[in-house]
Amino acid sequence: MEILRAENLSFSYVNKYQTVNAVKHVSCGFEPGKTYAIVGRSGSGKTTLLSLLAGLEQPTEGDVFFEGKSTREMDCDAYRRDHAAVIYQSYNLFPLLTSEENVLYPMKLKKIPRKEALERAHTRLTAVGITQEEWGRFPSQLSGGQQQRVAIARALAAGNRIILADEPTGNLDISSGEQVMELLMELAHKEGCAVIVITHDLEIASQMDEIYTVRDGELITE
Amino acid sequence: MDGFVWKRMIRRPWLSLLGLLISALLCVLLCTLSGYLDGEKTRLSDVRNSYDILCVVSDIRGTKTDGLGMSHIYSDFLLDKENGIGAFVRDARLTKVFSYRLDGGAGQMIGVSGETSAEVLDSRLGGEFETDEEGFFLSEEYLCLMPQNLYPQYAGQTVTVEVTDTAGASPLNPNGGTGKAEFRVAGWYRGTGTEIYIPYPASQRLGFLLAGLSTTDSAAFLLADNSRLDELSAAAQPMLMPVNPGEAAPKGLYALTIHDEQYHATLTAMEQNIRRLQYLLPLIALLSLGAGFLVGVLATRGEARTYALMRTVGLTRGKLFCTVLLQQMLLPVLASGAAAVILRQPLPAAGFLLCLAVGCALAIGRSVRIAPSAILRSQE
Repeated sequence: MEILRAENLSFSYVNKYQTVNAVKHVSCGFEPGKTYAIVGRSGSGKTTLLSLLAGLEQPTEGDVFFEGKSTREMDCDAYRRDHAAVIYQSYNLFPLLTSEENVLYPMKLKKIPRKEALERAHTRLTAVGITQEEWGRFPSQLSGGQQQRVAIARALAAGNRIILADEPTGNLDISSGEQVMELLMELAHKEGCAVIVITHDLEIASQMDEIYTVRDGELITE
Repeated sequence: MDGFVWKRMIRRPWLSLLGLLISALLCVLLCTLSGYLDGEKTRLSDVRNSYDILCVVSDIRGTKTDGLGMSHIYSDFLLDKENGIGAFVRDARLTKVFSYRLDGGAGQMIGVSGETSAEVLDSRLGGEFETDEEGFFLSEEYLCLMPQNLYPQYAGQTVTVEVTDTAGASPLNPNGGTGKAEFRVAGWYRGTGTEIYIPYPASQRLGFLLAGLSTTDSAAFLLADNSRLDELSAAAQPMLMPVNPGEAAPKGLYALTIHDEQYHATLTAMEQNIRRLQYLLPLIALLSLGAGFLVGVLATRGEARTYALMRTVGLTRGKLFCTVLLQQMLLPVLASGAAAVILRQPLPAAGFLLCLAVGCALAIGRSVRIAPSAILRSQE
């Protein structure tokens, strides 16, 4: 049973010089408990596809269905808050909040009681290998790998079932990258999340359950 | 309130302190100026209502203000509220002067309409008198106030005085008249002069007895209502003309001089001051708006990524706007509240806050319009 589905998805935007058809008639589905890789060269439209799946953009044509309901009919802010979490290549933690507060923030938006939120945050931070000592540190006091793990903990703690990761290992060394990928695999296989990873690293893609290749905005299933 | 607002404020204190400093300075300035403006308006109103504008009757050439020998028609015109200018008159100061002889002594007997008609009686000018007759100045009885040095000799007595209505002093009464009248010594005034003061109504009665008509030698009054200053000149016109130094036949013609120069100078200065302040206040309001914009720009500068991230985790644009605005307005609200309470100027403080908030909102609104997908595009 698919939790997320893209149906005949197209997206174009107008820049200064031309209309760019970034995504063309893409249809694909994502099931919980599985990992997906979306691969493609730089500029192929894979990040735009992720934006559409995350409800950050509305498609020009077609629909994204979450549990059978089009995101067009949903409040996309609520969709991201409650169901879809995004992990970025450059970590994107709130610089003025500590690791713990960064993880707490989405739960605050979901109005999860503070005590429960704290418990969840501590569990998730520990699970991704952030020590208690590091909970009170600001992002600038953490290494790249630690920051990415905090970002993953933030995505997990709110209990979202769709994890969309854009080049999550792009800025990490090999060892940290492997740890992050292991975490994402665990999320899918142990916690039943649908993990969608955008990457141009074919070695990482090969570890995923399914691979979608994007070329010039079009999807090629392999 | 989002608990993280405090944390972000505390961890970026220079910006919060800058906002606090700017808002405290501007708010205090606005409240102080507004309070000063209110005070100036009150003072202006006080001056308008209570400034004493002296109006003096003189001969038509304006060369003398006493010994006028005006017919009672003029004094009636001055005091009559319906057919004269009585409605404009406050504290009428009318005098009528006779000469007298008493027990070998001589001097002037002066009819006065009130204590302000003579310096020696006017307590504001250091004069002092005492009388056992209530309503002395309104009496038609022959009563008199003796100088302090003569009073012990005549206290409580009724004295026979030979009185002369000053011959030739009045155009209506060129020959004057002399007669005897009995005056009860009703009190004293401080001084060692020879003048005897009698009530003005009694002086009119006496003048009629001696010369067959009542005259007044000097007349002055204060304007009852300063806002009717312009009306007075028009109302006085039929009887009392403006001073005309070149008048060929001055006898029997009188002028009214209104001493309003100082009044107008004071009003003009105060009105100019108020006008300047009234121009200044909108400028400060504009400055507050600018300050709000500046604080907003500084607060949101370099925060695009954070805002996009906040949007990505599900914060709506409206809530993001409110969060950022709240973060910037919290300390200014506290500062303005304190200023409003201390300076007792809630309205200007509220106005200031509104301007600051509008300026801040303009800057913040621009920044929070960022699309959450921008964060992905920027890293792509």
